[in-house]
Amino acid sequence: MANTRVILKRRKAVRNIHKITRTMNLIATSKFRRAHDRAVDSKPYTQKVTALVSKLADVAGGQIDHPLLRSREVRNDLVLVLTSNRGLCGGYNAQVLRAAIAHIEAQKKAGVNVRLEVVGKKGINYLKFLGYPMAGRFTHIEDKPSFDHVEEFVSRHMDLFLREQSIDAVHVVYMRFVSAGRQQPVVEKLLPLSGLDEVARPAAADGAAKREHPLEAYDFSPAPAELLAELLPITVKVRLLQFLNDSVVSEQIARMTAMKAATDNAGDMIRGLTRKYNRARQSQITSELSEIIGGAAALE
Amino acid sequence: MPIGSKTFQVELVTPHLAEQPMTCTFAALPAWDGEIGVLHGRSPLVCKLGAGELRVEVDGAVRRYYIQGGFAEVLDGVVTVLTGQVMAAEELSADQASADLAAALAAPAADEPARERRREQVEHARARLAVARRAGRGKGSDHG
Repeated sequence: MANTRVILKRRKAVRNIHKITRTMNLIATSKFRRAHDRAVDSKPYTQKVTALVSKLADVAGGQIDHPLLRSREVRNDLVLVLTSNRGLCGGYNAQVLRAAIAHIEAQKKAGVNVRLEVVGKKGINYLKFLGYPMAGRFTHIEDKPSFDHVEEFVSRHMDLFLREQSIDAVHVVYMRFVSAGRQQPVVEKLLPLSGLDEVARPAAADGAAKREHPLEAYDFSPAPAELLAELLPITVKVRLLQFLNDSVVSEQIARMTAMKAATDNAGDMIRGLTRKYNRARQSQITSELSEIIGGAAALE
Repeated sequence: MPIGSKTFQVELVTPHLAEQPMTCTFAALPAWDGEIGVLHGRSPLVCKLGAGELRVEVDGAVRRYYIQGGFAEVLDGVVTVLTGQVMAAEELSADQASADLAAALAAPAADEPARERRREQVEHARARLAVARRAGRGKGSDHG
């Protein structure tokens, strides 16, 4: 039977871990709520921009020939991988990195040069360990992605894509937030935009059903095609902001789930150790008693 | 019924927040090529905005906002302003805006994207300065 003091020491250690994981679970829960609220707050902007694009696409769809919509043969692909700065979030980073590596290897097999940019210390460290060269490493986004962060990325990417033409496509690998119970690692094409239909798709059904005014009744300033050309870069920014928000929300959910499981496991361990300790204590008392009784009997 | 007594809604929407809609009798939007005044019953409109001052008349008082460009849509008695940044004029400081303008003008710009960024920053700082000065001069309730 194990020594009671050893069991007590172990139980104390597990209790401390239990406290830490429970606190981390609570922190992750509150961060998840805040991240979720931020994602919800940015929704009206996203929806209205998309609805406007849908409307303008109906009017000027045929006339527009924007460089952001022009696909060319992909020889150089920029892959942006969104991971977290901190760990203890279960399989979150592993899943995103697995999807990223699969995409990178597929591109390499197809003869495409990959320019890799990674957000988050976890992804940077892992890909460095595997020996993937990285053109950009970013650790400044943390839990609050903002439009400024997005502008920094998108303006650089658009510059490389449109002006220098040193990249032919931008793909983003991130964890999509489907619901609180389901997140999915995905590879999304950010540039070029696949087409007006895709950009306007979320608003198309809604707009068609609700549109009471014929589009001819609208005044446009400047012309619809020009407005659309101005709106397309914003669409790219809005999409990336949504990807970043999804990543943050998914990370906090993953941490919440991982810490909840760790807390539950620590609780189970504490209960098991308590039972073991009681049994050890009982048997120690029994053996002490029998020793006393044995000793007393020997003296008689 | 006098012009301007009928009301409509103005919604300010940024990537981070959608403000509560305001019920107003008049709005002046800083369009890319000048100002557009909106009264109740205006026909549907989609326009590009420049950085500048948005004025709305709520309960007879004029509220002034700085907006950083974007787009506006007028439809069915609702004016939706989509912009990167919105600030109430009273939150702006003319000194800060002057400092921002000086910093933007002094920023180095070696290539075309950097020059473009600097142009934008200068334009935004100038607009902020103008809105801050106008707000500091007086709290007029005129339409102009």
